[in-house]
Amino acid sequence: MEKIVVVSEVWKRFGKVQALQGVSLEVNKGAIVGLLGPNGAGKTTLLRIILGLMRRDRGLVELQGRDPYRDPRSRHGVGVVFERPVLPESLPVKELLMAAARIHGTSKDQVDEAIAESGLEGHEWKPFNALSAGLKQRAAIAHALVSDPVLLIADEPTSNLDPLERAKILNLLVELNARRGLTVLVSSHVVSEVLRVSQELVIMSRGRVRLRGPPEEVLGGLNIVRVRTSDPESLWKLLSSAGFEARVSGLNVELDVDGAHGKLFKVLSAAASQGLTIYSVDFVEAGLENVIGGEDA
Amino acid sequence: MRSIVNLVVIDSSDSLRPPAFDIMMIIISSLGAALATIQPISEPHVAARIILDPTLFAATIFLALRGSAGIAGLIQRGIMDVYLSYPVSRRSVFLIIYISRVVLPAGTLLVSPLLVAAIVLFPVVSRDPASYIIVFAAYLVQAVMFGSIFLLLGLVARSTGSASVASITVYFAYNITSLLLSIIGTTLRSDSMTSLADAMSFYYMVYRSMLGVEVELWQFLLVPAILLLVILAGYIYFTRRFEPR
Repeated sequence: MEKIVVVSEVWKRFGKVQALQGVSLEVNKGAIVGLLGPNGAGKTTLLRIILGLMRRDRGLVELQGRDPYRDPRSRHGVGVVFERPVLPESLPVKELLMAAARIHGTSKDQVDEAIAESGLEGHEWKPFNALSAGLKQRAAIAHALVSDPVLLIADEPTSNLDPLERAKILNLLVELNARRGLTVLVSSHVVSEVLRVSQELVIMSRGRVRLRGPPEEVLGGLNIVRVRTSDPESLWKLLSSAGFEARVSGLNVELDVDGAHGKLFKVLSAAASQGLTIYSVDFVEAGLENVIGGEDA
Repeated sequence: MRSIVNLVVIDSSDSLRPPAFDIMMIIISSLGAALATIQPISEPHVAARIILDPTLFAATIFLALRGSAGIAGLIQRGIMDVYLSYPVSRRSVFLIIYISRVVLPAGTLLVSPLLVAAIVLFPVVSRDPASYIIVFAAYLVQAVMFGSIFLLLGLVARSTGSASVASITVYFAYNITSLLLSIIGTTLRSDSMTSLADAMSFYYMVYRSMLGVEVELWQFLLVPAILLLVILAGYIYFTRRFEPR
């Protein structure tokens, strides 16, 4: 299997903070890899080092077989969606996409295709700062797609979006992977999102990769789950009707998923789409508590 | 090359965006027209100096407030991440921001009043357009030197407020130093101090040489040398140390 990203024993320090501690990771061509971890785990730093935006203190990084910090050719055909959707504000989005396409050496057709695929049609002549949060994220995705990417790196692409927009963006990633064979490396601190799209999971915390592998393998051994929510009673009812034995403790609902992680996350997604706020999902087991946690909507 | 041109187009849409830049250009151009009409001017290089003296001040203050803060804002808002994620080298990104954040704004702000004045004073300027252009080039070098310092401060400061304050402080410190050297030199009758004060204004050296006053070589080279050093420092910092966070 061709490896599009290779990270080996990468270390990075910011002043007194050791952001990455010997991180290793490989992304195979055509895969969707989910990078999961709480805020401060080092996900964004790792993605920036993979893109060559930051130096590493130690270790090896290859993006399409080249060192991304030294060789800009490594970023040919790499689309990027940053956590905050930012693009220069005053140019109409289509003009910006055309200029970006010329930088990447792709055609005008690619711009039109990116606009259609990202669902930006009808808004492409507006300046970026006139778009809503959801449309800004779509513009950022269109901007990533104009490079006709073989790899899409998305750093928390759904943060600050409502549940409906989140679902659309995630579906788009899966669709692009299926249709174009696009490799996707997506980070999030929201378990349900990453599980929904990823074929491979990398769990990070405190600058280290804690677990790596297919989702069922990674999460298979982690069965006691604690969900923190705004309305534990309603969530308990939903979980019970799905056949889970759950118990409520304050704002938490605890349950033994007994390997049915997929089913649990379907229930949580349904709960979120019904307006329930899921603050965090923790795996309460063998020192892994709080490895995964964060805010959901 | 195509990548560089396109990225300059993208970045200058931000650095020269209306209304601030447009308003500044209109004010400076009007100032140029007013200065060209309110006094009798018989020589093109004198005309250029009369128009560019106040223009340089306004353009430099604009660069200090907008250019420096613009760079810091570029980093703060995350747009620098976008630029660096393109398949373009850091060398090229530095060149791009240098063109669109320093050379283009400084050039446009200086050239617009000069063009207006050239139209108003056409009979005078047409007698010797080369000297008119040489004085403009000298002022441009001075403005670009300040702009380069502000660019470096913007890259290092990373906050728009700090970048603006640092830039304005450096600008006034430079001019006050020049003024103090001139006053002290005149009081103490120290030629070296007054020569140094004069040399801190490249355009003044060029202007004096056009008037036939003798100017030493080091006086011509001081500002270009500062400019080159600042560009080199910015280049090394950006290509080897800079990390957008």
